[in-house]
Amino acid sequence: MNRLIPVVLLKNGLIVRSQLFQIHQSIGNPMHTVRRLSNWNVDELVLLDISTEDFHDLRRDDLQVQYADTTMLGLLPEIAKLCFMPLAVGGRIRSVQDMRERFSRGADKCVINSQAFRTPALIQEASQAFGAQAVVVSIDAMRSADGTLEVYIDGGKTPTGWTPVRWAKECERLGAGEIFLNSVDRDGSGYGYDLDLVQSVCAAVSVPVIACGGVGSYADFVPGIAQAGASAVAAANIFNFHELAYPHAKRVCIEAGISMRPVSLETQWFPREPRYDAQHETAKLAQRMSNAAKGLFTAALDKRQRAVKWCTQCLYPSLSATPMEFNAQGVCMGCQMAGMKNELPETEWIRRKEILTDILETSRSKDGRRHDCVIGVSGGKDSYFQTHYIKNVLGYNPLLVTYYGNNYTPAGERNLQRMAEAFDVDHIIYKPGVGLLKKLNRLGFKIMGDMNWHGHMGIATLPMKIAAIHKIPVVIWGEHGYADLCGQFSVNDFVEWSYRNRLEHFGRGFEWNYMVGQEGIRASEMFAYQYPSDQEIFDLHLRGIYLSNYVSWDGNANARLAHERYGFELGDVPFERTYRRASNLDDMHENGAHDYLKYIKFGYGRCTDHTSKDIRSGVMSRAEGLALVRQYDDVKSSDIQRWLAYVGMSEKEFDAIADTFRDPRVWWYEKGWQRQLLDK
Amino acid sequence: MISSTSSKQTVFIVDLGMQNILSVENAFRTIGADVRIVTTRSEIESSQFLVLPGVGAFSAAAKKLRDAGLDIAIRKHALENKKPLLGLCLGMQLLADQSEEFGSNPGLGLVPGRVVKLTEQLPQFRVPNIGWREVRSTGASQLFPTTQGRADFYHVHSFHFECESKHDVAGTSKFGERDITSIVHRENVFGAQFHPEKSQDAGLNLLHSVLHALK
Repeated sequence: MNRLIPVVLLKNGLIVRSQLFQIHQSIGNPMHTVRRLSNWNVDELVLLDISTEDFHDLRRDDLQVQYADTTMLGLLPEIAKLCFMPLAVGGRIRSVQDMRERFSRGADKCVINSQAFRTPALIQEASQAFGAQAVVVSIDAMRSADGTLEVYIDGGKTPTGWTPVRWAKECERLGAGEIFLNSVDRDGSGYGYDLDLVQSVCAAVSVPVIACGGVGSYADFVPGIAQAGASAVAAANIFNFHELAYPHAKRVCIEAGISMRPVSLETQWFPREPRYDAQHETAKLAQRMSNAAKGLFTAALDKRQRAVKWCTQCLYPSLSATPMEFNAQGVCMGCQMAGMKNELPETEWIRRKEILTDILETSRSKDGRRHDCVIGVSGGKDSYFQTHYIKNVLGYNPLLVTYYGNNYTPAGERNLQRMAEAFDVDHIIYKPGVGLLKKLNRLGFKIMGDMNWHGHMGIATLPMKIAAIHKIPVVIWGEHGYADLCGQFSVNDFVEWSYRNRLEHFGRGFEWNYMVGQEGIRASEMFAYQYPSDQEIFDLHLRGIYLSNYVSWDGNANARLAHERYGFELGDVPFERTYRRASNLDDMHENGAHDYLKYIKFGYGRCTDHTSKDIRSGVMSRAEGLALVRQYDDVKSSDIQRWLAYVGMSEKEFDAIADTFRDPRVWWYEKGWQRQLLDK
Repeated sequence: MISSTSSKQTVFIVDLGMQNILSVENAFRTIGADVRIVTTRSEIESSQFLVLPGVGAFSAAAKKLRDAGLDIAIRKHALENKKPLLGLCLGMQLLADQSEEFGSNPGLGLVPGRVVKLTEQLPQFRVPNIGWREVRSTGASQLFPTTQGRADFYHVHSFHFECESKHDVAGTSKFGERDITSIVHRENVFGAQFHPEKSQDAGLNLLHSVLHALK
């Protein structure tokens, strides 16, 4: 039976997307991803730590999934607890002792690379100590311009002068149980495997060969086995990009006649919705409330750390709400990716539009008994643009779906109600009960310092849920927020909507069932936040696509179009924490209380997001942006008073709870709260 | 299939100090059991559902059992007291009368038969036999109740168990032309050649079913 193997790349404790072994974009917390892989009964898991230092940065105190240890070896047992499949672990293994430490923490196999080349006796020793089945030698091969292949070590940096075939044979002779064969030049390319490379190594050795590097579509897995003769096919990036990528890839392999274990979803032992230990969680919340009352929290206790740095092009800090990476020049990934996107030629956008219409054609209703697609809308400028584009440019019949969080500004409310008329489309506006909303506001604030948990999860759930109920296979989203803000993905990834992203980023790891039982909330009240099952999503081939991957996207231009053509109103009252007037009209707290809490947590607010975007798109200088940030960051907005009255909380209690979320890397207490500031 | 937590069962896992038993522990906790690690004769004597995991060489493991007197305690546990015993991988092979690994070594003698080396069946069937293999139910045991009478399990082994009585063979898998024993079941003794703790749902389902049915 051939294996389909997801590879998880870890850097400083977070999963990264890799390109050419050089660019590493942070994707998220490994726990969420490994849980998902267990949901899908994967054949095996390869976990490669590509950090160069033993330091983990989970960045935030408001997330559900946390682990105390800050080293790879400390993280491993936590990951192993979620793995009921063979687990191969690699990265920075230098000795038999290093391997023993990984086996004792739950690894079933160790993957060795550079050190195996430097001291080949390690392969022999390891094979004798643990058995050949536990020793995987990873080979990174690079193809030069003239087509010759060479083995590289040290993460693709150091050439060895050996051909992959020669080195693979030597590894087998020394006792390697498997060869993990990666193509450096195909890494992150999406061009498919280097089949000649895979074939040449498979023909030279009799131990199993795992092919890796270059998979861009599910169909790319097939020739790795059928044509090149690999025993197993592996990939990393693709499993981070698309919902249910593993089961879909497996379906494609099996349909192509490859012998693999069947697709299996919805394991009873690993339900997708996490099970929470109610006692533990209640105690955790009680502790936070008690700390708030006593003024005990990390920022007040820790010494000042001043650990923040800022992007040299925009105003983004390293300590951010989004998973941010910087290159050697100190330029953030958001700027790098925005630059890449701005450079896409017109012909590429034409190609992308064709891909989009191909997707939408598969979704078009054949008999008119359903809508062609769903668009999740808030009634904001981007909602107008999406609906304009899908209905009036491309000619499809969308169903608009809105989660109504009961916090609309007057202008936002009018914009929302105008959509059915302005576009002549069907529009479902879903209003949860206000009593429930008040409870969720309070709980979200106390548990994770964010009253808008309900809004983020409602928005992230309802469009997919309505689509599943009506058997509409495509949901259109606007921008991938993290891809836009922090360059989490490349525009070439065509990243799509996923449950992992919903839970990890929108829900911060807190699934709907976390709230059940709190303040007397019943499961049946949480309908709006209950996501469709994996089986429903798989059977319907339901996908959520981001329009910004297919259409050149500019928030300011969207606002102009919405205003001029469809009567979209800008905010009638300016926001207090940012200068933009066309964003977040659907929620008065999103730019107010919610954003103030972001500032409390990370030391910056929405004005940094807005100025950074405007700097990247060239409409503002960095100095102008910085002046605006200075002006808006510290403002405690007046909508907080509305919120306090809405949920019945005193300002004193609000401030005390908020303080427990201050990150000590940016905040310290010295005659009042001080924070590290960007000078210039 | 998930049992209520009120009837939480305890499994006692024998730790011979030869390998990592973390994943076996994790697996039992995941299916809702409490886990206790046992290393001495007296702990085995006071145990109920006993698990003997194992990776490595038969001779070394058998010697460890004998040196600590655990072999006697396990035999008493299974034969006299008729308490449940589950052997996994090498632990399953140890149930046999003897093994031919490194000469001839006596086993626990709980399931009649001998452990012999797998013969290489080139090119698809190599030794060690590593990977996901389909195991088919022989119908001899109610404890391998997969819906279609088959399931895929993760195997890693170089030797296999030849049972004397076909009634003790509950599941087999193909290795080249022949069927090899993947599951043995004899009264209160159950054994799996593969790693159920590394076989996803199929493995956890099997452990759950054995834990709750084996008396």
